[in-house]
Amino acid sequence: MRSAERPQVVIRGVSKRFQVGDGEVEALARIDATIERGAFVCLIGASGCGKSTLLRVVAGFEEPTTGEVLVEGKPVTAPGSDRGMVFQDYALFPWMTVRQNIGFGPRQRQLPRKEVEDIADEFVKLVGLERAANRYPSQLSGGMKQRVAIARVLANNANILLMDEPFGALDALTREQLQRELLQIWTRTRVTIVFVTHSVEEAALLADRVLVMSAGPGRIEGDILIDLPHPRDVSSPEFNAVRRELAHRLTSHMAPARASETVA
Amino acid sequence: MIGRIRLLRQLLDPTINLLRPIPVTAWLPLSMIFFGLGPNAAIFLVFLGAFYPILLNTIFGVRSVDVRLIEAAAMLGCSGSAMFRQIVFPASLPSIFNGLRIAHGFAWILIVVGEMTGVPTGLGSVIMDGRTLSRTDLVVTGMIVIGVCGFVTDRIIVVISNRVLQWSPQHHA
Repeated sequence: MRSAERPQVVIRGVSKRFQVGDGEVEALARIDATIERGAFVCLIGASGCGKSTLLRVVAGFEEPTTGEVLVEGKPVTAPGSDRGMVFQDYALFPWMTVRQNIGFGPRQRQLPRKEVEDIADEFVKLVGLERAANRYPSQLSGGMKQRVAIARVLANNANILLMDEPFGALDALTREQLQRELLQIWTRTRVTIVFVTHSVEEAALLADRVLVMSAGPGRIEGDILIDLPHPRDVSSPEFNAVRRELAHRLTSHMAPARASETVA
Repeated sequence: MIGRIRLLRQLLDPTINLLRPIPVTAWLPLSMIFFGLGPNAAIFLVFLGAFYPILLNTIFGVRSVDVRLIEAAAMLGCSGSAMFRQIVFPASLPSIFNGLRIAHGFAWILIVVGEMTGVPTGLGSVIMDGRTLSRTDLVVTGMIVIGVCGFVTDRIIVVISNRVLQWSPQHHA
């Protein structure tokens, strides 16, 4: 790891409040974190702990109530093509074919048509969808749609991939396969990945660093480095130790939270 | 635009909804005063009748564009008028075509009503002539021709919409 460089993403004192009816909900309480270039970071936590909100702040879809996010030293004010978001529900453009979806970003940059097509073809190949390149999203399976979504942001030169429970809606087999493919893409392209999940297993399998978040209001409870080589053997004792550690961190702060709920 | 810009919608919405309940046939006398006895009056009526379904469906379509798609496009570097042309417009096409089909039905009714009452030419007036002359055959023929024309033009719209909306699984009628 090139630790001498300044971190690619700096989250500084970010908090977020939402207006809900008459009241206010504090979704995030002052969060500080840094993410190194080329890291694979998982944000893990129970639902409602603000992990998706934090991701949306980094993406520029939400403005933090206080604090700021710096990417490459510059504050984030709006969505940008350097940070590619992959949504759980894919958000593909249904009136475009796979190839057109993937070429959408390059087309926005007003590249010549030929170049747009070359880029699209390159990334269609990267995610192995050559045979489906001219199909519409409604004709694809969930796994294929998510491949298109990943290729779409990579084709746009995103060097940070923000993934919001991207494999949550997929069946177990497809999920495993996509996890493997994502790791291959990560090793090949060396993009930074911030991956939101609520699955301990998924975090232990993919990440080299896990940020454990807790709810009410959301904050980062633990920062765990996973120093296991890829591909990881899910049945090895080392992997089990990591999984146990994560599960322990995740539940240790949930118990008192639940207790205080019943008191209130 | 009315769909996307909230202020504009709030400004125009009362006017639109006040005028809308007036049946288009009630505009007939006024349109005859304005445009006289002639095809212009019928054209005005057809325009009025077709205008609302198209407008309302378009507004609905634009408003119901998935925010995720807009976010996704924004993150891929799309904004402003490009966003409108490349995301909002295609995403609302299904509703726009629905509006077109409904409007087509209205327009057809209105054209015949207009011809029956004010305009002295066209199929509607042929039917009315047939009535005054007690020529039932003329009346029935007129009705059949109207029916067939309506059917054919509706099919044309459907064929176009199936082509344009190839991507949408709900739109293969």
